[in-house]
Amino acid sequence: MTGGFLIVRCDGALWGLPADQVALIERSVEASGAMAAGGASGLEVRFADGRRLAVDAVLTLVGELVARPLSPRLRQLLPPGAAGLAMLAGEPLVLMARESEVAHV
Amino acid sequence: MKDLRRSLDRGIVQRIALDPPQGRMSPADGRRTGPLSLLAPAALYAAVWAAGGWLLAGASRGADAPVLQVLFHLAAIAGAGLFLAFDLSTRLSDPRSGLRARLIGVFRQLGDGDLIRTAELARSLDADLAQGVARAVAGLATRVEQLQANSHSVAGAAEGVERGSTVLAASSAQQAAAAGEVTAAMEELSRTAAEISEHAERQNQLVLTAESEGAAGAEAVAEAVEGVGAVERRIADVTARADTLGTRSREIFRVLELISEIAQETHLLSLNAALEASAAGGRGRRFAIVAGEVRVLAERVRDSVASVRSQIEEFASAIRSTVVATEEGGKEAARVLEEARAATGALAILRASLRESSEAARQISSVTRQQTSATEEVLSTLRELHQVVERMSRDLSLLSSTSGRLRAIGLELELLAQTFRLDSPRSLKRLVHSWAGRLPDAPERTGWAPQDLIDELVAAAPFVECGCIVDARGKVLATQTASELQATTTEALQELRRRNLADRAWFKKAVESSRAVVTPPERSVMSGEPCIMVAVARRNAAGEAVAVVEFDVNVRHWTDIGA
Amino acid sequence: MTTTPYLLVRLGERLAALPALAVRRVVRGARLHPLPGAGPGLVGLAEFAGEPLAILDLAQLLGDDRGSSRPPVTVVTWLGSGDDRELVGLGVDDAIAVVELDPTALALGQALVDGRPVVVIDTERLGVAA
Repeated sequence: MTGGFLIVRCDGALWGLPADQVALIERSVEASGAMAAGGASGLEVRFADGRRLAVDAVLTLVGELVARPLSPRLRQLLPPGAAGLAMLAGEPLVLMARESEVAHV
Repeated sequence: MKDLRRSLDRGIVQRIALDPPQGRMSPADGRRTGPLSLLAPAALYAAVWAAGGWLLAGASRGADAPVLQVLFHLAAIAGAGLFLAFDLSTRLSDPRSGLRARLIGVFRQLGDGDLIRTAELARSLDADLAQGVARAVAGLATRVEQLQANSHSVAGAAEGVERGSTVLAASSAQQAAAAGEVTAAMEELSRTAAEISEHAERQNQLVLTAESEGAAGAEAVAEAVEGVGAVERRIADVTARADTLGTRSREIFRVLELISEIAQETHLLSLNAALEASAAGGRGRRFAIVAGEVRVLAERVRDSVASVRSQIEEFASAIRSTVVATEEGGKEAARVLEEARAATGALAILRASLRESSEAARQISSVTRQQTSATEEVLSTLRELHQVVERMSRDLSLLSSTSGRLRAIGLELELLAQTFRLDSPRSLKRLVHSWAGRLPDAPERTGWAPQDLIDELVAAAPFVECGCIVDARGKVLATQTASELQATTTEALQELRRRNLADRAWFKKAVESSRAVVTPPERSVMSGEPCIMVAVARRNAAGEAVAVVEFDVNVRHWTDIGA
Repeated sequence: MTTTPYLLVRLGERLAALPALAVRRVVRGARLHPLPGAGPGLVGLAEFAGEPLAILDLAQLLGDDRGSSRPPVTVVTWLGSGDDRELVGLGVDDAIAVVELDPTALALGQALVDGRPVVVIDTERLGVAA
């Protein structure tokens, strides 16, 4: 999978968001529900399609990540919206899918 | 005193017996001159004549009767004539017999104390004699009046002294009582001071004893403190050693932990080696065996570690209990030490306060000793005062009794003075005569108000307690008491009015004689106080007693007489 | 008859056996990165030989619902077969030994080791949704 990835920490876990889907990063006053661990930080990622994701931190933007496609087994077990697994600086991260709906409560 | 009274009584009785009715003459008396003196022989003649006539008439009716009658008449005349002659001769033989008799009469009256009558009789004497007697009588009257006045003064003074001495006696008694109270209080104070002093002394003794015991106690406490200190040090030793042991066992635990980790890793290593060996197939078999042995070794190590660990834990637990017990012991020792220290502190305070108390007791003792000596001085002064007051009290009561006797003497004198009838306002006899003079000469006839009269008479005489008018038979016609007694005596008065007083001594004597009667003091039925009764009879023209008027004079109020 | 080596593991009180040839490595104390939002059975992510490794709870996979656990020992195992083979970490309580089992054990799905029953796991089919 090519294209840049925005690396964020969400609920303690590392996620890689497809950069071309991210519209902007902004600070939000309101906390977005139970899924938003970033209630304290107040950071939000707004996607191109309007979806918002509260994040703990925005770490970096990487050019490319090498990921293996998920097996049905793992796809079943990983959170919805996960498209694959990758490594960044010795830490495993989850790559977010492009097409799938990201449901954040 | 008693003799005088008795003699007075006898005198009164005597005088009453001898008292002739007023205006009459008794054979014992001197003869009076005047037309009445011829009545006696004339009466005698008439009586003899009458008697003779009666005898003759009754004796016979013979022819000798006229002769006898004439003889009898002659005898009577002769008798009368003889009588008259004798009388005249007596008169004529003694030119001085008339004068002598008159003088005797005058002196008799004087002797009876009737100075008024004496003066009247004296006027019948010759001019010189009359003058002399009159002067004597006047002088005597004056002296008697003075006597009466003086006896009043004596009585008044005696009364004053009595009152004064009573008051003084009362106040001295009060003073004596007050002095007695003060004395008692001072004695009480003295006793209390002595008690306090004694108590302070005992206190001091106790303090000294407590001091020595306190010192011993302090030493004992100090030893205890020392002992506890030693125990504490030993406990600290034990605790330190236990701590060391604890530390060591912890170190051992860490080592064991390390060994345990190594064993685990070794085990893992053996597993991984076995897995590689199995993957290697046949070639890996020997490797697999070695791996297996390594694994076994690791397991043995693991088991040993577990065993050692459990033993160490037991040991550590034992040490912990020891440490806990020791710590408990240490706390206990610390507590005992604290208590001992507190005891030391308390003891020190106690000893200090005991010393203070001892000092205070010594001061109290000294002060009370001073107090005692001062009190003793006061007490002795009070005792002297007490004695003085007692003497004074005795003297006053003596004075009181003396003044009482003086008063009695005054009364006797007054009574003596009252036996003289004289023209003096103080004379009770004169007063009772004046009362009698107000009665009609025929009181049995109506037309006069005895009650009104007696009311007026009693009201006019302030010293009279009770007055009454009694008829010749002794029946009470009217009676009244002094105004201040009327409220309490209405019943007694009513009772008296119903009585017949004929058996009273004064009544009988008043009826018998022409003189006024004065009785010795008796208890009055009205007031219960000593009264003298003064009474006299009212006589009609015929000289018969038609009524008796009497009044009671309260002896206590006799100083009001003539006031 | 030849025997097949199996790695004997403990899941609580139960024993399970994994084919030794499928087991790559037994690891203790692997650094676990929890993944919120993951389904039950996925304990978290770890790193093994430079690659991300999904750590699965073996007991959970076997149907033993034990809630969230952090298994102390991770058995890095090939699951699946052929081109679909993927390396996962199976979390267990303890890895005991490599034992030789009868080949029929796999077919039976269980065996006896020292008298104790053991669940024999087919790693090719483990974790595949029915």
